[in-house]
Amino acid sequence: MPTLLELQRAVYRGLVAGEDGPCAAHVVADGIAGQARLSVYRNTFIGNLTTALRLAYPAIHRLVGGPFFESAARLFIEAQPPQSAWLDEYGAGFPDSSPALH
Amino acid sequence: MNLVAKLEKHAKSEGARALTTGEAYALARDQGYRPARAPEIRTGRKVEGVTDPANRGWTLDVAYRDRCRREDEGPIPAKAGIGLRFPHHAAMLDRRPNIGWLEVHTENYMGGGGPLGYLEAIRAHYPISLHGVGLSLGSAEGLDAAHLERIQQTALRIEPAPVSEHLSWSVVGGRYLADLLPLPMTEEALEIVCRHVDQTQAYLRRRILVENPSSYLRWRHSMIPEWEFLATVANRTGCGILCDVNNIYVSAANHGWDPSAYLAALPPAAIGEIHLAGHSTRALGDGRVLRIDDHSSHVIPAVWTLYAEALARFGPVPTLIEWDTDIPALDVLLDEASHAALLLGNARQGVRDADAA
Repeated sequence: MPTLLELQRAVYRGLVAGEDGPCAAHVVADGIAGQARLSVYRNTFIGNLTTALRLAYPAIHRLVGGPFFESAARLFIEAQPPQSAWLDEYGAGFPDSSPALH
Repeated sequence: MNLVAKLEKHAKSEGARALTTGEAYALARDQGYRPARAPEIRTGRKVEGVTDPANRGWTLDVAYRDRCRREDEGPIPAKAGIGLRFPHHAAMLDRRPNIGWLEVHTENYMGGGGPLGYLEAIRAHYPISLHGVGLSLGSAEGLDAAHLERIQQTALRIEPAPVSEHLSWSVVGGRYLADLLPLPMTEEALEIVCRHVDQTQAYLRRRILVENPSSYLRWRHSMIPEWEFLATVANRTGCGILCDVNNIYVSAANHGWDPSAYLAALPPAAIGEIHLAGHSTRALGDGRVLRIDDHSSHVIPAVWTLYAEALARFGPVPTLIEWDTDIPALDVLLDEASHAALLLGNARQGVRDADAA
């Protein structure tokens, strides 16, 4: 049985690095695979932070278009998840994270 | 011990948020001070250690009451409210619709600037509840002190009625995972959550409400039913419960629980607020469906039914309509709230009938 901290570190690796095997092993499958259940959380994690970046950089979003913005955002989020739940200053390095964004 | 420290100690014993002398309050009024809520005047109070006869006749600023179940009691009425989101800031001020109260996400107003300016203007007309999504009560590594301080600063500006958070976690290794993640229902997690609720309540010097989450998975090593876990947190820490009826419906459907049994396991006296929202369904192959709590639509009929059941158990409780994805026109939210108001009215009538019997 993992400690809470071990479990939370495993979830982190699953959501941020996509290594969801170790984490899924702790999930009750119950008709739906652990990975599929975890993907709901991963989608929300990426989706919420993509929205935060879109609000912070509306001009870049218009300039490069939705699909490109979203894939650039995903790469940035995976490389630099926020350090706090206060997202106002999240994404300061985003424009520099991809040559196509600046 | 100086006068301020003595007053501070006395405020605690009166259950008041703050207090001052009658003279100082009258002076402040003369100089234009207008509190968001009228203070309660209590005269002739003896403050331990203060003997100056000129300081008799204390004026106490309003005491924060930890629960407000009736319209005439406390700052959040047992009425329907709506979640206030940025697109409706201007319309709320222009139109001032008739709605009992508003709730905002604490994190959206921590930065000051335009949003906080709007909220302070709106605050003059409506009671406000601060609903946090980022404190991460279930983090094994402890609370983020800087985040707790930001909540405190926002609360000092807004003077909210309830302050609420979630039974979940979002932070590990100093990184915020931007979702309300499910906790394993273990003794270890229970102790950690209780410790963090205690710390939060001590820091904010107020009781908080903790909301039941919606979830899409259960951990294999969970030993305690979620409803029992939540009731125990309320019992051990004295916190209130924010009962999200849609979340109960969503989690019960996803995990095969009985939503009525969930409601029945919660202590009615602890219920300080109810949430309602819409959710969606996602097909995951071989006919299995997960219900997803995305706050993107109308409350479904089955959740209204469960809400009526909750009101029958808990009595009239302040009830909030949440809508966060594809946010509709303000009137759509107000319509949804008016349906909740109708059911609240029925519940109030039910209480009167029972009292009369």
